[in-house]
Amino acid sequence: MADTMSTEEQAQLLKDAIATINSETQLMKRCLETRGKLMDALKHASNFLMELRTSQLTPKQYYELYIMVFDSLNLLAGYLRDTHPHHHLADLYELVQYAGNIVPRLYLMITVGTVYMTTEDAPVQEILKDMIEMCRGVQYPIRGLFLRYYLQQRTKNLLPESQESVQFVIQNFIEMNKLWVRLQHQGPSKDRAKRTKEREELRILVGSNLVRLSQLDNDKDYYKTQILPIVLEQIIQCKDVLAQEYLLDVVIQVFPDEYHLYTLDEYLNCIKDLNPNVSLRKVLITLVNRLTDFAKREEINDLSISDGTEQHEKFKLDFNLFDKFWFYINELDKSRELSIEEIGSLLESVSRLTLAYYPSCYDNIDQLFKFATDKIKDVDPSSTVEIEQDFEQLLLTPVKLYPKLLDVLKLSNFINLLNSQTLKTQKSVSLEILNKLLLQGIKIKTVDDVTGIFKLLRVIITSVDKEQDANGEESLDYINEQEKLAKLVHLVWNKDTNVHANLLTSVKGVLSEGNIRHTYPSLFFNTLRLARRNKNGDLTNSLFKFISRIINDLYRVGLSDLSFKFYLSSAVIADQIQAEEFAYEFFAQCFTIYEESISDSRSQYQAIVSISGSLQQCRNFSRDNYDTLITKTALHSSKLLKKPDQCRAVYLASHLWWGVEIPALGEEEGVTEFYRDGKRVLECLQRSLRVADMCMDSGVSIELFVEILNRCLYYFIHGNESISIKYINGLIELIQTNIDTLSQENSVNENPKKHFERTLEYITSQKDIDDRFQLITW
Amino acid sequence: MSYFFKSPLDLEIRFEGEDSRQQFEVKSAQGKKDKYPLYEDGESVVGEVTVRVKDGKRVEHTGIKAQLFGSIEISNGQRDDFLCLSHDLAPPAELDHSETYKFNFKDVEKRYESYKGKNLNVSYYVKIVIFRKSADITKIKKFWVNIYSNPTDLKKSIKLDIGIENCLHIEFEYSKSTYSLKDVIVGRIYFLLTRLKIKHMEISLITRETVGVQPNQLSDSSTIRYEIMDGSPVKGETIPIRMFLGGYELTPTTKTNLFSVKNYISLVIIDEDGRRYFKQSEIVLFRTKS
Repeated sequence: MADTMSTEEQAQLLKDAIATINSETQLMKRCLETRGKLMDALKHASNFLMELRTSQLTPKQYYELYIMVFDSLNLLAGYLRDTHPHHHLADLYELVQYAGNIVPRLYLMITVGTVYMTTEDAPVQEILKDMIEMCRGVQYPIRGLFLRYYLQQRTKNLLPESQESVQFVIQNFIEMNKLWVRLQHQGPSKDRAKRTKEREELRILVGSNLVRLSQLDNDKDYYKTQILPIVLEQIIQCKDVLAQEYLLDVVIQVFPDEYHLYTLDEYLNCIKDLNPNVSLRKVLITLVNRLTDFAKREEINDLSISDGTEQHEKFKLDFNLFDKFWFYINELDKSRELSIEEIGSLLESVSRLTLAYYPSCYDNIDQLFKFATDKIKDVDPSSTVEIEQDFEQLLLTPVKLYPKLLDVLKLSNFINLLNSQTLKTQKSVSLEILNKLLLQGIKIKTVDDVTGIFKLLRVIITSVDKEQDANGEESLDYINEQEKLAKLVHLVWNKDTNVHANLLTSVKGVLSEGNIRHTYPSLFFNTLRLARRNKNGDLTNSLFKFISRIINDLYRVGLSDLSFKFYLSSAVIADQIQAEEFAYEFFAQCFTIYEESISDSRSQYQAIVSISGSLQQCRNFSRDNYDTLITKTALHSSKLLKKPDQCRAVYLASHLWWGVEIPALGEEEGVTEFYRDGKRVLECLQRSLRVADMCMDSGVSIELFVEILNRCLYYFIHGNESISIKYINGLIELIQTNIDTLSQENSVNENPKKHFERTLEYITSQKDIDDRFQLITW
Repeated sequence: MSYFFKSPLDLEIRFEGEDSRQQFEVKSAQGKKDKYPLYEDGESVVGEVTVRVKDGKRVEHTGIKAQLFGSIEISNGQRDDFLCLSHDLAPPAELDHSETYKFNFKDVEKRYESYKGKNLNVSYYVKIVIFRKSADITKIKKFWVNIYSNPTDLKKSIKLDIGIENCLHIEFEYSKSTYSLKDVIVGRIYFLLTRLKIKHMEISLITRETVGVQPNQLSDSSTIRYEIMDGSPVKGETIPIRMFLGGYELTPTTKTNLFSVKNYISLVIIDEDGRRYFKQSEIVLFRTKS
């Protein structure tokens, strides 16, 4: 036995055998070249064939010998073919059978027999039958396999197109498989693994028969009745896992897909009789995948729509493919208790199949999902990584393959199955859905879609950032996910504003469960957009109330700055659509937040500036309301902590009493009536001037003076008569005096000085255009 | 033959139509191939002998006789002429020139085949004797005899069912028990149970010659081995047997009161430890013409 020898001994043995084959081949050649020495040539052939009687080599080494012998016998066969009819091949066929040892005898017999077959009027079928029958004499697995492989190779191109030929190949296949399986059970059991490996190396010898079979001309019906049943029978009978997995795989690979479709029952029936250790992944999923690819190749669009268009003429199935698989999955489950791993991968592939053949038949997929949900109930889905992955793939199949992603919502069991998965799986599936929605920019237009989709995304919505650090900084991944959700909110849209509003209400309901800091802002803007688009008064009310609630929620979670800005934006919009009450209320809210929550002096200044800016744009307030608001603004301005801030805020607030045109609204100076009160403007400016003067740092004072001068010039140009030449001249003088004083101390700051000089230059230049400027002197 | 004196006469025996007659090849002990003219039972043995006188000498004789012998020689020296025919060719005379005489043994009954075995030879020859007052002059010439038969009652096939308890159980079958020498043995072996680790299986064709009777019996056998299976089959396997006989030099089954040649076919199974298991069955071989 091979396992009693060391590798070195085997190598030496192989070397010797090769040497013998080489020298005997040379001798044979010489005899063939000499007339009348055929018998001696055969003797030499028989000598090198003796090397194939060894049991000491590994399959690989034996294969090496086989290849050499094959080449040598090819020489012999070539000679016999050329010299026919000098040697009567029928006699020769008998003659070589005197060889005392069976292995050389059969190799010679096949060599002569196959040459004999090529001659005219040769009894081909008898020869084939005889050769294959005599091959039974070699029962030693490796030698038998190679001998029968030789028979197969030799007869390869000689088989007539007939059913006998098919049966010949099948018979050879059966015998080879038996030998191959038997190899497993030879020798001591400790070498089992090694033998399995050896068998792996030899499997192609067995498989080659099936390949050969597929090359013979068989029609579908013959395949169904005479080939496949026998092949499957053998595969089942051998009970060997390796053989069953490999051979079924070969069957699937070598025969055309049309045949598989035609013989699906036979094939699927066989699956349940296999050794329970056979991996379904290998024997069933391969088939499913092949059929799926076939549908793609053949461009089968949708068999569930039977409208008789031309693609159905090209391809017809007289049964429902999915139903068939479904039936057998159930059968299989009954007969061998499918493991959850098997179910996962099986359902995944079948789902792709049904998507290929019946894309619009949602029930199919749903059925699979229900099955999966029922099955996974009993097990822990996180028990192995593979199960997790399989089910994730299963869930992702419709997500990836549905042309319209929202069709996923038609699968009522999708969500059940999703919820039965581990958080990790749920999350990755949800994220995939989310990404796809964003990528395709699919608009979410109905309440059902909203509830459906957000249900699928629930795990993301409610997820908590586990990696949040001690300072409350959120991890990048988490922010990314939340950001995507926020983006998704923008996809909620309906042409009908009422419906749109309903959608938003649903979204808010769903999002309220999660981290609203990230998601509400986009909900806010979506609502704001709708508010602007909306023309319906009733809706306006509810929308603004809705907005108010959103901001309120945000404010409550501590986002005061943001809430402030949102109120401001809402106020502007409310003003624009002439919802004065709301506008007023929103401004009021702004002030409330300002008072309650904005404590940082810098932010306060910014807030006041923002309010001023916003109020400046408002057009639809009643005079009283507007007065209240702007006075409040000016008041807050003057109460700022830092003097420069106070000063600037106040002079900015002065603009609130001096409306100017917004060209976008079609306003025009001189035509439109603006809210203007020159005196109040002056008062503001004076107040800011006082504040500026109070600054300790003279440099800052001068800068502020210059800025106020600029404001004065602005009003002067815009015709505010309260700002007189005298006032301006006085201001200029004041600045100059201050600069002079400082220059004497040699501590004047260059920047305010330059600003002042540029302002003066401007005045000079304006003198040419506007006569009024002539009076400004210094 | 070496004679003390050089023979004054040359004798040459020739069978009629010798050149065209079928020859029978026999391997001699030295490995050379001897050829003999072939006769069958009941056939006349006809020929002529030419007597040449050397150098114009005159040779006196007391008569010339032709004899035909069939004899069995056994290695222990025993010899039995089972056939002895003779007739005169010439009366006493003096030969001074070459002369040719015809001999004719009509329809000679030949009971046995010519045979060359280990301990036994069966041979036929024609002997010409020239009787003289001094030493007689003799010359012999061998010929070969084949006995053809064509048994009509070919016995039925051999079927056997054998086994070793809990170890091996096989059925085997040979299509016939009687074969002509150019026949082919066809059969099959069916394995009902095999727990043996079989290395290979072969058929042995055994030819056994037996001479004499106990206790002085001499016997010897020769065997042809033919491998019919390599490796160990599983239960249910059927192994075919086919062995062409024509290429071997076999002897037809013969039985006389002096000796016998019997043929056996033996199925031998050799296991991986080198143990041999066999079952032997007698078969009858016969020779057919053509």
